[in-house]
Amino acid sequence: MSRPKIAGIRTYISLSLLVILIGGIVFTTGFGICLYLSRTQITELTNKGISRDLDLIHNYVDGQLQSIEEVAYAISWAEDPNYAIYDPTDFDSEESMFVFLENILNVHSNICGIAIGLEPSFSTQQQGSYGFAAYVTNVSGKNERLRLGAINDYRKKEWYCKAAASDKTYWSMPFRESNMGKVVTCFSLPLHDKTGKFVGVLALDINTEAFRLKCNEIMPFKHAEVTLVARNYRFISHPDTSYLLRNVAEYHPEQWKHVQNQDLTFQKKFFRLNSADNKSFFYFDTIQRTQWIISIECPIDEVYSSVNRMKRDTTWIAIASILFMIICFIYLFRRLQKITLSKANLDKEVKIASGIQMDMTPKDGEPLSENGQLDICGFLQPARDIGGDLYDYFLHDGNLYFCIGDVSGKGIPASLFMSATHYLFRSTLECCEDLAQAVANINRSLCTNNERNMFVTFFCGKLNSATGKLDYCNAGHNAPILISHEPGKTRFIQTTHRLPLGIMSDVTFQTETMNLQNGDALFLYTDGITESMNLKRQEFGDQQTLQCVTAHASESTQDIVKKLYTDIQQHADGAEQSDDITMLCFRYNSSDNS
Amino acid sequence: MTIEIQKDSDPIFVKMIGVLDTGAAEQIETEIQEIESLAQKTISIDCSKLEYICSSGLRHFLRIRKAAGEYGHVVTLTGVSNNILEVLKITHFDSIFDIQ
Repeated sequence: MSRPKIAGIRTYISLSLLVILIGGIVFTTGFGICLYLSRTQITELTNKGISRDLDLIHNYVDGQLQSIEEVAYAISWAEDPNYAIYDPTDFDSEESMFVFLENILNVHSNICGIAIGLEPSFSTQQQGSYGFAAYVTNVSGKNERLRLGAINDYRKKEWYCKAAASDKTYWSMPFRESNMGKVVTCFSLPLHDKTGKFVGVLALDINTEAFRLKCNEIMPFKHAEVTLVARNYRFISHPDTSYLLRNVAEYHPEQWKHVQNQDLTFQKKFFRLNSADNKSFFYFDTIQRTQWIISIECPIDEVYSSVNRMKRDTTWIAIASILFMIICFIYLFRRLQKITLSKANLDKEVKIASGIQMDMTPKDGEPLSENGQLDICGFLQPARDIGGDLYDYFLHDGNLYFCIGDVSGKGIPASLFMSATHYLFRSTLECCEDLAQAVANINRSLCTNNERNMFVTFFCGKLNSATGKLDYCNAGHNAPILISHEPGKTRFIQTTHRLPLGIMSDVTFQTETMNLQNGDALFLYTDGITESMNLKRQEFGDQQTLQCVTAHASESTQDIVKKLYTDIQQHADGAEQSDDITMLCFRYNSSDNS
Repeated sequence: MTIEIQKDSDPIFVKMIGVLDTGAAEQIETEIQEIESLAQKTISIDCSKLEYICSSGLRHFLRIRKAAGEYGHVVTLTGVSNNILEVLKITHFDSIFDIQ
């Protein structure tokens, strides 16, 4: 047996792939939008957080620097920060100057060194013609005095000469202090006498270690780098201390090149680095007082770690979902394949059964008698592939035996019952002289083990082809139409109704008799004709059936059947055929006419 | 097609509403089984709202009739319209039901 072709499998696969594709596109688009919104929100939150961190460092460092400046102003009695007055007579000896400086150093812990340098004209004789500077520094908690003079050339040092040259306060570049190796920066304040003449410089050293510690405290992300850079672009603070006082160009030159192009009066700014080896957000701010730069560099991976995690997790979920969908589709595909196969097999078998059923009915044009006394035509159009109607006829001993029937219901169950009836008709009528008795026998056989209460309305008859005597028996079937040879005299024949076959085994039936005249025809049909409905659910009806048969009365039996079917189709007007349609029509032509 | 069954009454009233064609006949199998199971009481079927009956519908009527027959009951049909009555007459079903 050949394997039936499975229709629609390709369509199913295409549809499945389409569903997966559309699902994937919808999911990816939705997820992409979510991801974009999440990243935007995270960027905003990070910007705010880093801005706060920059403020924290800025306020701390600037506060410390400001406090140094304020100490300098306080001890120089300066009303104008750029015009501090110094009177050498305030100090009667060098000793008193050192003591004064030591006292200040002891009081202000954030100051790690303090010096007063004088111009030569304001130095005493003993202090030499070069000039004199008193410098006290704190070394391991102990004050160490240093007397600076020509040998130290202090007037050429940055802390002195810059303030002296500009006659303004000056923050020197950070440098490494020689005693302890600390990175310090120095605030210089020019001093003047009462006449306003420049007399020297007061300098205060501040240890930048505290700044470094503060920067290290701020750690917005695990691998974020918080640095403090002097205006000569050397690190004051860096997580790696080996970078202190080294030029920024040695470290991530790319972003610093970017910063160096900026105006140092700028406010907080940030930019994104997207080079191959460094993908990060770079935030910076400037301390105007010293023009130092605070920078925070955050790796993009860490900033977006939650989004990236979500992206990774969702990707796995999406892959798992797609795999699950594919498994489901494969499972459904196999189920469908099985169902389609079994349906295809069933369809094929139904088609075969339909063929067998149609084979059971006599073929049109099959010669019934050698002298052609009978003009007969049958028609069966099941509502489904296989029907529950039947008609049959055969010649036996010069008699035409015929029947028509309608099994309750439709489809395979009805067709099985119809086959049994058909077989019983052929086998019973041939050997039973009395029609009613034959029908009763058929009924009894059909009632046996009829648990499903199937029944068949049945009309059968025996026409003596020589005399035109027609015996017939009706078991619950529609009354046939007699088409008289006299035009216009078409009518339903009178029949005694009895129950259909298969209902009760003890029912008796009645044989009725009438004589057909030469040219008379009998039209038998099932209720598929009279109950044929159109879209408005209007039945074709008994009267319309009678009218149509009357209209075609003069035609051959074949044409009557054909034309009536056309009439029914016109009445249905596209409505689906709901019941099997069966017709049997024969015309009696007496031997005398043949 | 709708079937209303008054189980608690005696006789049991069954009301058939709509068109009892082949499609409807296949769908009311459960209701017919239920009516069959109630056949120890007499059954009265109200057909006043039954617009059409096909041969499969008649088969359901026959099942009810047979189930009732086992208890010696006759099934009563009420409100039968002319076209339904015509079908019952043709099939001689009018002889096995009490049509009122």
